[in-house]
Amino acid sequence: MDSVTLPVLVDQLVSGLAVGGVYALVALGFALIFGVLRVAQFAHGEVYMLVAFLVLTALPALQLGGLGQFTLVLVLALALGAGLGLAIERVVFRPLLAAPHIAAIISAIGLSIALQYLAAFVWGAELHPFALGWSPGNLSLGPAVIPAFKVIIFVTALALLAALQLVLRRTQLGRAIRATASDAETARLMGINTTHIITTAFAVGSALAGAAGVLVAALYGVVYSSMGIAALVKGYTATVIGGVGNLIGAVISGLLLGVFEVLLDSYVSPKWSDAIIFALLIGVLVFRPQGLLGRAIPERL
Amino acid sequence: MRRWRGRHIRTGWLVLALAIVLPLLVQDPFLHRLLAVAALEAVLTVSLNLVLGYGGLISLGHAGFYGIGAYVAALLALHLDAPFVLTLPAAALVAAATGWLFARPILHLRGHYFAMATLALGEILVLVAYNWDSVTRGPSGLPGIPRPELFGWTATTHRDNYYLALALLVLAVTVVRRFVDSPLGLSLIATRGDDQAAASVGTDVARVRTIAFALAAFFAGAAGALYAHYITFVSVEPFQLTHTIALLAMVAVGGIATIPGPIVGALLLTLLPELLRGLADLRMVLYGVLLMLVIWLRPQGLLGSGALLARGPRRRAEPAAIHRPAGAVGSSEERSAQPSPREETGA
Repeated sequence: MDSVTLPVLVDQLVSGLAVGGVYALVALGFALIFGVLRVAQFAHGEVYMLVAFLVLTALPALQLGGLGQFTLVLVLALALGAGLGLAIERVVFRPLLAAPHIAAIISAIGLSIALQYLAAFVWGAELHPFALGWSPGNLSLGPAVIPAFKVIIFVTALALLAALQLVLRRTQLGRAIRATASDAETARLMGINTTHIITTAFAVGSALAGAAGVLVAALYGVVYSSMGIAALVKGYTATVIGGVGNLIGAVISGLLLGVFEVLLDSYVSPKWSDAIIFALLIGVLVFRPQGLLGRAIPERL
Repeated sequence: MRRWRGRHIRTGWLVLALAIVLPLLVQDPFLHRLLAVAALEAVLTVSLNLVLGYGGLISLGHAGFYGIGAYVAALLALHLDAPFVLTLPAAALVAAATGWLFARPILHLRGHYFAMATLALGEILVLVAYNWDSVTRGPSGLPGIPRPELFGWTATTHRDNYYLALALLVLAVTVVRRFVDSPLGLSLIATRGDDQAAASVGTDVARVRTIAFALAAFFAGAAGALYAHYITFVSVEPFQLTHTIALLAMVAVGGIATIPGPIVGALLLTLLPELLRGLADLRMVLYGVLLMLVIWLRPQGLLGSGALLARGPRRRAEPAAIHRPAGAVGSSEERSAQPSPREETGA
């Protein structure tokens, strides 16, 4: 246990926000896809993992150095994530649009297993060091000295989230996505091509997962084939705490989850932090069944 | 459910006879081991199907109850020298009690909120087993659990343990089938279609669901106890989320909300990785692909009719229908169904 001093606390909060930013990206992508499709994308974590591996493989060819390096890697991750998302939607989800939801969920689970073991086969199941090749040094924040990279991760996550909000709130496409999420049938009657909207949501949501994958790889410096499961569980948790269908809620609870986790690791016990978070989650579900930030649904048993 | 009487029951007896005779004819310990594992998995899938198929609730914590059973049996046997005839029922009861206590406050949750709560419970159980070193010995696990012993007879071989698992499976199938046929089971099915409508005609939704959840946990716990005595060792690996997910896949592949479906799914998906063993590292890749392929070809599962799932009012639109000729819309609406209610809309 660390003694609580201001610099330590600031460092922990920044770490928490960096981790939370990654969770928020995963959760937002998951929530976006869930919103329009009403099916949990259980292979979402695999997009995150696969993009991190693909970028790791491409890294030797990307040696710009500096901020340019970071930007290039991020753009590549977004593009790879979007491409994977499009492929997954086309192959796994579109054929099952009319099938029971459990069928689509199981199909996504099959894909998740296949991709995870494929990555282990291609790259090996061990931990792979991931060096971005750019270190922005430290940042002085009052009495605290914190690694600037953590701040950059948090800022990048926020920027991506803000960009998505802008698209969702201000554009015709965003309006169509929100309409589909709130009532697909009515949206279709209003002339929205909901199939196209689902495809778009997959591309955008998976791009965010791809970005989260490289950010987390750069943050922890490792990539491994089973990293997707933890990301899926955290993203799913944040989505539910935020209130399913509430995108802003997913972002806020993702950030909270990250901060909370880092603080529990430092002040309680790293062994028990996950258990405490899950226990709190059950508490949230019992007392606020619509999620911490979700709107109350009037009729309830 | 009445259709399970008659012809299906006769088929059931035939399959059971085959399941008893086959290991006597084929003297292959490797096959016996696989069958024993498949039978244990089938106890888990049959009990999971009660919640998932008939109750329409996605439980992501089923392997956790399996773990409770295994650890309770292991600890009783190791510390108190309790015999198998006591550890198995005790483990099942502890699992059922946990299920009951846990289910009560969360059963008003719907769809993904319920799934999330059960996922959280499963993760907590695994983390407790993993971190509570003084009792569970953490990651090193508990070795040296005695083999199952019944009235002086000890189940030493894989085949002996297979027969015990088969007996447990027969018990689970009998109880689940009777439950589903009973007024209580019919109420459970009613709550899946529309819980508010079921409540409005006098169904105690929470009570029915709690009983189903506890009953499922009971059999998962019993399977866990048998597993602990059979393998003679427990550690956290078999009780994790990945196992629950594998169980969901088995139920869905075999046919959700059917009696034989979960058994067929458990058998197939237990044997499949072994059949693919020649592919070495790629076998789990192919396993995943085959899982997708089965669902793609038969979304309702191999033995599922989809009839049970298609009940209940359909509000949700099927986006695919937009590209279909008008005549196809009706059929796709009929097939479209989800076990979880559709309430969790939002922004």
